[in-house]
Amino acid sequence: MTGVIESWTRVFLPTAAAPEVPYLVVFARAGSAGWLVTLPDGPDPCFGTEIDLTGGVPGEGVTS
Amino acid sequence: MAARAWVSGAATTPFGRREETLPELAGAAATAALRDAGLEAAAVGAVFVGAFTPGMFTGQEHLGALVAERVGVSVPAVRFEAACASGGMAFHLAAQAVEAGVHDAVLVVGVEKMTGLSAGEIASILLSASDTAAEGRVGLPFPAAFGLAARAHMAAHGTTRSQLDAVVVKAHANALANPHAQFHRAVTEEDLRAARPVADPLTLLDCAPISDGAAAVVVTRRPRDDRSVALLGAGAATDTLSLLRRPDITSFRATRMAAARAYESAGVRPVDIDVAEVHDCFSIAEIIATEDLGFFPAGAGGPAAAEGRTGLEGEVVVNPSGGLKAKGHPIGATGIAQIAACVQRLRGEDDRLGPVDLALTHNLGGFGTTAVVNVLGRVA
Repeated sequence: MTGVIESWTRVFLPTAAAPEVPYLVVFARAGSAGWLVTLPDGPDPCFGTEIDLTGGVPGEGVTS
Repeated sequence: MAARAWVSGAATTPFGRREETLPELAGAAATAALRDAGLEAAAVGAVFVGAFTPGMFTGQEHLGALVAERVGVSVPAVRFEAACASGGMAFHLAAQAVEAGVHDAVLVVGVEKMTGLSAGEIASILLSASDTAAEGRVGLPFPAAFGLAARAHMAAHGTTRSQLDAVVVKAHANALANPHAQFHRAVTEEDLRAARPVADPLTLLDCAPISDGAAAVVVTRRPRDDRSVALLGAGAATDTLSLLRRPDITSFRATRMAAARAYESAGVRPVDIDVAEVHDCFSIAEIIATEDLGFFPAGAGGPAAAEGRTGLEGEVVVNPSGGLKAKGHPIGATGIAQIAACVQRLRGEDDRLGPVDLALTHNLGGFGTTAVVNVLGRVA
C-alpha cells in the first residue's frame, strides 16, 4: 500500500521509539487517512510522490 | 459590548528555571493576584487550577486543595487538565461559573514545575499529550509534529525560513521589556544561523523553552474598580487528538472554532483586536495562529510577520510579552499568563503601546487539539 507525501521532517531528538538521530518522519495520505512513516536518514523526500506505507502508523480516517 | 465576567486581579511569577517549589510558585502567583484585585481570600468562592501533569513532573497531585491551603481558604478547589491549554481551560470554566452566578469570585491559578527532570524524561511526559496509539507509536515528539506543519505550510503557502526567523526575533525583542520573561537576550542573525536543528525546518530557536512558573487571575462577577478588565467573549473547542485524522495540518480547526465563538459572543471582528497573546509554542504556531484567528488570510501570516505587521507598531500587536517563545512556557501557567499580559496592556501599563481597547488570548493544547480564545476589553 502506498500514500502520497504531504510533509516530512528530519528529526534530531532521540526518542524511545527512535533512539538513533537524525531520522526522517514522513506524513503521507492514503485516501482520507494520514499515515506516519519513520525512515533512516537519507535524501529529502519529495512532496506529492508516493511512499510505501509498510511499517507506518495509520490514522483512522479524517473526521472533519 | 457587555461583560460576561471581569478579571479584577492578575499576576505572574518570573518564568524560567526557578528554585521555588511548585506550591511556592502557585502560592506566590495566587497571593499576588488577590492583592492586585484588592480582595481578601475569604471572598473567593472557588479555586480552579490549570496544570498539565504535576504528578509526572514533580510527584505532586491534588493541586486544588494545595492552592486553597496556600491562600487560606476552604472552598471547592480542583485542577483542570487540557495539555498546554490547561490554564486557559481553567479560566474558561471559572468565567462560566461566575457568569452563571455560581460564585462571585473565583481564583484561577496556572502552574507548572518542569525543570527538575532530564530532557528525555520531559520529552516522554510531553508525548503523553498526543495520541499514544498514533503519534505515540512513532514516538513523534511535538517539535517534529510542528516541523511537519511548518514544511507543509511552506509547501502550501510559500512560507519561508526568514519569516519564521521574524517571529523568533520579535519574541525575543519583546521579552526584553518583560521583567518576568525567561529570556532577556535579543536574537541576532548569527544566532539564527548557528541554531542547532531540532526537527527541520525548525531549530532550537523556533521552540518555546522548558520552564517553571505560575500565573493567577481573579475572576469576578462585577468590576472591583476601574482597573478591572471585562471578559467580552470566550470560546473553546477541540479537534482530533491525532494529526493523522486531520484533513489539513497547516491550520487548526479548534482555533478557528474557538475564535469564531469568542468573536461572536463579544460582538467584535478580528480587525478590531489591538493586542493578542497567541500560543507560539513554535514559531510556525504563531504564523498559523494569526491566520486561524482571522488576523490574516491563510498563507499571509508569514509575510505579515516579516513585514512587521504583528510588531509593536503593527496593525495587531502579537505577543508583546515575548510569547511562549521568549517569556517561557510553564505549561499550566501559560493560558493564565496570557490573560495577565493582556490585562496589563488594557490597563495601559505597557509604555511601548498606545491605548489598547481590545485584546485577545489564544491558548492551544496538543497539536492544535484544544483551543481556548478570549476577547478582553475596557468597558465604561
